[in-house]
Amino acid sequence: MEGRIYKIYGLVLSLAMCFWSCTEEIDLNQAEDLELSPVIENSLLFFDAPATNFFAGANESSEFSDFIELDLFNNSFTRNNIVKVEFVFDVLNSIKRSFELQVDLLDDLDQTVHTFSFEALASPDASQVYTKYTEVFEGNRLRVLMNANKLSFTLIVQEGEAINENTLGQINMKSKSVFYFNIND
Amino acid sequence: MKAISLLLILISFVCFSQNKQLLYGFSEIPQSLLTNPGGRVTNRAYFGIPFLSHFHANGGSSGATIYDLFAADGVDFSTKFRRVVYDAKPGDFFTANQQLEIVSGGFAIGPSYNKNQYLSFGVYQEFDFLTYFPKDIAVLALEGNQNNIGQRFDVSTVSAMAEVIAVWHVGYNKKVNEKFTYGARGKIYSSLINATSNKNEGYFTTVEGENNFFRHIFNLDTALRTSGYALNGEDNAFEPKDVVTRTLLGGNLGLGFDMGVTYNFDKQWTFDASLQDVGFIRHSKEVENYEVKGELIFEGVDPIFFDTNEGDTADEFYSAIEDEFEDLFDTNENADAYTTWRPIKFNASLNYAFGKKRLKLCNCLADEQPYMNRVGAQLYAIKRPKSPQLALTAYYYRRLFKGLRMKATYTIDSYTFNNIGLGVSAHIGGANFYVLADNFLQYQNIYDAQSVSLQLGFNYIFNNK
Repeated sequence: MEGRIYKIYGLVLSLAMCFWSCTEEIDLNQAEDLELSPVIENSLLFFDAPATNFFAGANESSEFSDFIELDLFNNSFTRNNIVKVEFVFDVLNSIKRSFELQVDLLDDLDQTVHTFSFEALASPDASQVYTKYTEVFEGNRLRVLMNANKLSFTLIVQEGEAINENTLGQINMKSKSVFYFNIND
Repeated sequence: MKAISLLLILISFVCFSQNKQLLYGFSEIPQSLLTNPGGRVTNRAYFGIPFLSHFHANGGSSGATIYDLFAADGVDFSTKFRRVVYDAKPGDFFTANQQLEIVSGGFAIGPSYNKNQYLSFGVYQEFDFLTYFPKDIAVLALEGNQNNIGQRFDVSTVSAMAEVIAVWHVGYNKKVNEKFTYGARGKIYSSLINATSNKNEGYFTTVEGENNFFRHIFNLDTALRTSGYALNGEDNAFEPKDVVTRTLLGGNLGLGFDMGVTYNFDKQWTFDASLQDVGFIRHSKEVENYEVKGELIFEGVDPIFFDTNEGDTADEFYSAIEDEFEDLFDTNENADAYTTWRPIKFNASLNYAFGKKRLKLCNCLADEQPYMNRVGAQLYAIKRPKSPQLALTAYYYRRLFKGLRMKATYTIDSYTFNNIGLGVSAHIGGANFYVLADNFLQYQNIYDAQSVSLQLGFNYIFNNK
């Protein structure tokens, strides 16, 4: 009988030990602190044009312009979580004229809300001249960008040596937008 | 983003497998016939106490645990979140399974001198959930594409299913002779609610462009199929009374079967095996399917300054691309019927019984009494969308006193290499209570457990005289 009692006692004890759980402290509210900061890069505008597209006499300038409608900020996720945007331009120019590249951001009423421009320098000897330009939108400027829904792009051939059908060289532009997010709610 | 973290919390809580290594072969518990319809029957009849006869809950994570993510250890949560995502292996999964027996019973049939056949029947409800960890999508959400140029983000890493079903079943078991027993169980499934997304293909990638910085490639073929919960139709919205009608075979119906055998080599050596849930469910009522399908390659917009065609503007070109984007991500809805296959489960075991009780009266072995101990090895496998999940168990079974049976298991599976389980079944007169639980070592910190499972129930058993 006594052996049987010990047996039961041993069984109960070992079961109790099995169920014993001393759980470490956890804190589920930490999920509130989650911060993600993905960076998304998108191709934007590009072109590649030989000098012969820009017939222009010496000391003549000419303009080429086009626009696209933007709806990058139409969704609330982007509007709420974007912290910085960059527009990055890379230009390779082997034409002996320099070019001004101008970007205008327009609102619903076609009013210009922001403008920036940069110059791609002329190539003195038909070698490729590299120009890089980055426009950064943060703070107030980012808010302005979010209200723009049209991007107008203008290429202005600067004064210089005459271009004719025998002029060598070409201009090549690549561009991208870089969206910096900070997602924390 | 909150949704993702909440989902992660949810799946960390409810990760379960369906292995019933403690119940399998535990023939004193009538519900062991549900894991092998050809198992050994030790009673002449039984009935389960309604709603209390079998409760099973089981969850597991092959990857991160709740503790990995939520330990109150002062480490920045975002840091831990990143660690969990980066440490995840392709194919890591989270599962949850729960069963509740509503009614069940069984009785021996056959001539009175040899009742060697047994009928068992019942209804149970089952919830099943499985998701693979969508690592590629998580990395994309964490980092974006900037540091992942050339990297393919594979959508097939998204694979998940959840369902609630009711199962009506009748099983037949026949002990052909002292050596051989077989059995089969027919099942009718009634699906209350189902959501399945396990045939996703395609990818998103950003590669170096030819004309511009990048070329973005979207190639998507994804689908989410649902039945039983019409998300859009207000008239069809899921109501509590639907639970009752659909449990009573008013849901989307399916058919299936289990089968199993037991073979005794001699009095001590036994082999048994079973297949469970070979079956399907046809979803045709209240079906809503969503598909995102298409391909898009985008390098940017060429302002077409020099194009001579009148009316060609960059904006038109860009609008066309925007339309393509919308088409690509536009969700197509349909109500096409679909079929889901139940997860087939396989069990097998090899067992050795030994040690007869020594009688005090004559100081000799009680030959008519059953063996007191049994050891064995069990194999379990379940078919899952990406690959089968396996578990290997070694166990020790012991009869304690007159009315207590105990089984201890050691299991190796996808979750852990140190899963120790313990189960007891108490028999007092005809009353039977059993409780089985595994992963005891991890109870020291339950939040760090990679899987836990619990089964318990009450029956009334008419024992063999």
